[in-house]
Amino acid sequence: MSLKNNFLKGIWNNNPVLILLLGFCPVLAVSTTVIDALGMGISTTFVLLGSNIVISLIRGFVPKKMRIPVFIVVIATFVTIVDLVLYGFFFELHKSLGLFIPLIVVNCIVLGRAEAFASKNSLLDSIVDALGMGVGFILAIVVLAAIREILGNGTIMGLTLFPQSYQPVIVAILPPGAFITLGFMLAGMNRINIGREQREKARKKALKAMKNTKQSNKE
Amino acid sequence: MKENIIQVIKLVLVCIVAASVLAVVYSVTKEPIEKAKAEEKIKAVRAVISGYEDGMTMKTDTVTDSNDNQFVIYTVIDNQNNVIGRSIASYSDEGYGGTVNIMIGMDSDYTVTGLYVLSHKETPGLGSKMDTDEFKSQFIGLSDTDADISVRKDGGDIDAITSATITSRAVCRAIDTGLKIVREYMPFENHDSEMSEDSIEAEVEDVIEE
Repeated sequence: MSLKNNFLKGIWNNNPVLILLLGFCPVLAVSTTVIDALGMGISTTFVLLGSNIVISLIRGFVPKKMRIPVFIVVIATFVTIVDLVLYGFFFELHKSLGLFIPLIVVNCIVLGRAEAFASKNSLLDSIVDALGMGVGFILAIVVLAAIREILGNGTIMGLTLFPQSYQPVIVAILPPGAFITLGFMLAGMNRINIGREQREKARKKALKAMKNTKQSNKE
Repeated sequence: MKENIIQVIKLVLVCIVAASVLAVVYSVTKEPIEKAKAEEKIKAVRAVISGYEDGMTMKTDTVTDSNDNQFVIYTVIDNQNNVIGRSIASYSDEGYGGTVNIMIGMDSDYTVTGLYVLSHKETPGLGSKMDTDEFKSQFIGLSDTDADISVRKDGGDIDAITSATITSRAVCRAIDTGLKIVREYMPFENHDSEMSEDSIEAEVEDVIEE
């Protein structure tokens, strides 16, 4: 698989949230505003990158039966480092993100990529995979947050979009709204992918038919 | 059997490395974290006490109430030994996501002059709106004796945040508690008497020196 495809698969064909259906806990919880979603996405990507690098480097050393505990130790260590460093040196950022950092430990995207990819692939491939998955995660959570923030609060990135008379659909910003919106996003994603598959099939069929007629013409 | 032992040793090794890395990071970040926390407190006091200027002194006291809860009270004193205001790091455990910590500034009439949210774990996008000026400004100028610091649903004077009534209640409670603690344990009147005692002592010393 080329590096480019490896990167792009995380964004669409293997999008961690919308196709692999991983990491719903932070996606549902931290998608009430776009700013929070971005912060969550970026810190997750950072942890994902760190854990993929380390796990790819030590993949020869880790015994097969012990791999899950080892991965969890590595991930938890990274999350704690991110927490402490942000707290000490980027206090303002920590103030807004501090709530979500411990949530990254339970984000199964990080463990999922460690298990499914980094433990079997080279360092470079693992870095590209982490970046692709990270971008895919950021896109999914930001789109969800944008929909919820616009509907439920009438704002985007803190800017008011509608006149005072607009009555926000508060359910969108409440926990059930997260499930409903995510459900619609998954449905939309499936619709696009199924449509693409069908077109692909139709194209192949047409090609085959064309070949057959050419052959019969020759005969 | 041998394989099992090797696995255990490897896992222990990984844990030792992880623990040492964390120990290093912790020791490196310990000081900046404490500094950042202290700076945050000073920033909070500066934000909530109207009339705070550089060069004024800040006195820190810790009081313990009858339920053994500790509160830190900051008193800002200007160069002429006048108390400019007092602020208290108050909290309520009854937030939607846990404890809500708020710095409350007040003047000598026990009237709220400013609020600064130190930390909270409320729902982002709902309860987190407690940290907006729109909500906080309602409390400015209120005192616990001439206003009812609770949400309208409970018969008080405060408009709750839409779909975050529990958070709003917690904020009200924290503010009400803060004002009452200062009134009970560190009243402004005391400071004046303390000061006068101090100045008497100073005068006595002066006399002795003469």
